[in-house]
Amino acid sequence: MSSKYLRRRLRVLVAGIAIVLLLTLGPAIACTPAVVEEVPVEKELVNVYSGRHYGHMEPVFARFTEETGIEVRFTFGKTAELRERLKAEGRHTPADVYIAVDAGNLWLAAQEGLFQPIESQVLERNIPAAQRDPQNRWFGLTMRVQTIMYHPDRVDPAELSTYAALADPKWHGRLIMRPATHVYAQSLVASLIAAHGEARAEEIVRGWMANEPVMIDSDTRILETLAAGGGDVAIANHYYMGRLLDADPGFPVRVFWANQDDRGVHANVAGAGITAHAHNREAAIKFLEWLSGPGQRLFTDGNHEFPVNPEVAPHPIVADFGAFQRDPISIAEYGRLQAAAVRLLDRASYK
Amino acid sequence: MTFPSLERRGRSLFPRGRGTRWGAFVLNKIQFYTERIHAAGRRQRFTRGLPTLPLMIAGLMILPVAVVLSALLTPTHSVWEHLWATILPEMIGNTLVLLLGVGLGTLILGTGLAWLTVAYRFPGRALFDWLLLMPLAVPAYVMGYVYVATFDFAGPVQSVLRGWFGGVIWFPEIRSGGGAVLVMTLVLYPYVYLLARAAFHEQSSNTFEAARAMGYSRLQSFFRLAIPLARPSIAAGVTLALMEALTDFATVRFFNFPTLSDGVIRVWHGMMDLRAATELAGVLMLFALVAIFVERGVRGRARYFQKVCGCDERTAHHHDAATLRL
Repeated sequence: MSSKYLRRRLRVLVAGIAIVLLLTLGPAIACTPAVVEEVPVEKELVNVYSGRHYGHMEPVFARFTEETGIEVRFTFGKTAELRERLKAEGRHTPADVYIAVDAGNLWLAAQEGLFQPIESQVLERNIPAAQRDPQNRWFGLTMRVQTIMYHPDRVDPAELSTYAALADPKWHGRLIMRPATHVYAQSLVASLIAAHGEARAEEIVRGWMANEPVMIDSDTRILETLAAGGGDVAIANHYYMGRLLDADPGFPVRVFWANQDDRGVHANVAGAGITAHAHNREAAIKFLEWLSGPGQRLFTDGNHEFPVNPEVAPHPIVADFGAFQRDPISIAEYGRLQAAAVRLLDRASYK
Repeated sequence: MTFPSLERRGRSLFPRGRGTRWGAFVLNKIQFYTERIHAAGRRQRFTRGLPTLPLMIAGLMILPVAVVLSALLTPTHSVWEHLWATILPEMIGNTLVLLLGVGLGTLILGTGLAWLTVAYRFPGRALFDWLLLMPLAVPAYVMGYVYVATFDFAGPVQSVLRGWFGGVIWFPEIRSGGGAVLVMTLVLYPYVYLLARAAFHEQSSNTFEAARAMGYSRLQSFFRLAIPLARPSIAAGVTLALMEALTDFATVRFFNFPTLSDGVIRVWHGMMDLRAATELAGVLMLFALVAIFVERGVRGRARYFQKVCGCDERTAHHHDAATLRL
């Protein structure tokens, strides 16, 4: 083979690689969310760090811009990692608003002084006191309810009552749960600690473990396994059920609202706060106010969550699950107790 | 320190046996290396000046490692007590099981496949030669997700089997240490395959013909000749695979198999304690260092060199150590 021939082949190869890269990376680059950066203030603008990136956030932002003329720039990421980033950036952060998907990170961000308290009658009117920070540093915006799910062929709902009752030996080998690594398991146990104290909560968790639950790290898969007969009862978030019913109205799993005869079912929030060093404070307040009012349906429906605003009706699919009473404890407690909950889960060998 | 006149004359300032032995030894060494540096400097100009750029690059590389390791010096006692009493022993055990399983799996699969594609002719060999590298392009957690979704209770395989045999069937639990080892082996074996294949290719066919002529079977020449000759490459490949297995925190979670990497995330996100998570990452890094030392141990002093072209009658001879180190 002559070197000329080789060189020509090399050139063809390089050109080929370049074309493939262009074809694949071009759209990818075009679709990458805009990096948050400061621009001279001509147009009103709000910069958002969002740990929530499922449930179609972009249409929500677009509608807000359409209705108010305020542009939204956003960066998506993992809730905990964005919080660390916010902390590291300090007063240089470009973020005005931090959206988190659980009470734990909201509580900790407030603890670390990353938020500023907001006086807003609109927010106070739209969001019940239990679903926001007592000092108004953060506000719950959507509600996800973690409750008991069952297969109607194998379980009579009359057998079900509370989370604690799932520790009963009659559920041995029939339970499906989410591993301890997920914040859902952690905040559920935090709620048990808040309600029963640490000793009793540990007893309950050990009872669950004695029933040797199947551990699956995906709520959707938990429900699918329940439907396929891999278990009879599970603890899962309601909105995954909403998604599955949306895709298949005949999905054979039912929702049971737990603890209705005592404190109420466990609900966590996704919420947001305005950063301590926000450059666009007024626009950020407008943004949160809009999300708690006119934006509620769009914000919650994309993910089949419940609106925190009692004035706003939930999506028909989740409304069909029936009315429920919510554990009235302040969501902030789940954040405060989360680390204790993780330690408890470790002690009880909850995997 | 320079010895320009000596260098020119090419004679040692301190011949052996004169003065104190130790002092002479040290000075001889200094002279030796000074001359080597000068010789290198003639070849590559930039090594003459202070190596600022290399130092800066090295500093950048070392910085995160140093930060993580230095966290070990000031441990958060309460968190460590809790971890030792609860999940840490299991995480360390799982990490060891994962390392052992993935190490053995990639060793057998990578070396075996490399030998098959190098030493045997079979239909589609040319295709398999590079197709076998493809798993490297798939992140382990993606493969893990696919395997779990395919083989778990609600997955298609078990659903079909239940349909055929009705009701209850026994099926191995995919969400387990075994599942994690299986998937990571299938994703990471190309590291071993790639390096072993290159090593086998470099081995001279003359050596094997000689071995066969002396009465070794195919299998014997594989185990007694090809593998020992390729041992440094294989050990390097397995070490790379182990490093990947060690740092993975997403796949092990699918399989409910918490390792130290998973623990780092668990402490960081769950307990919301970045400090303690960094300390745990330091422990993880010690594991990586141990893996590297084990690899050096396995490789030992064995370094082999062969002429590839076959133009020399000497088919295999030992060579200066430095040239073939990976």
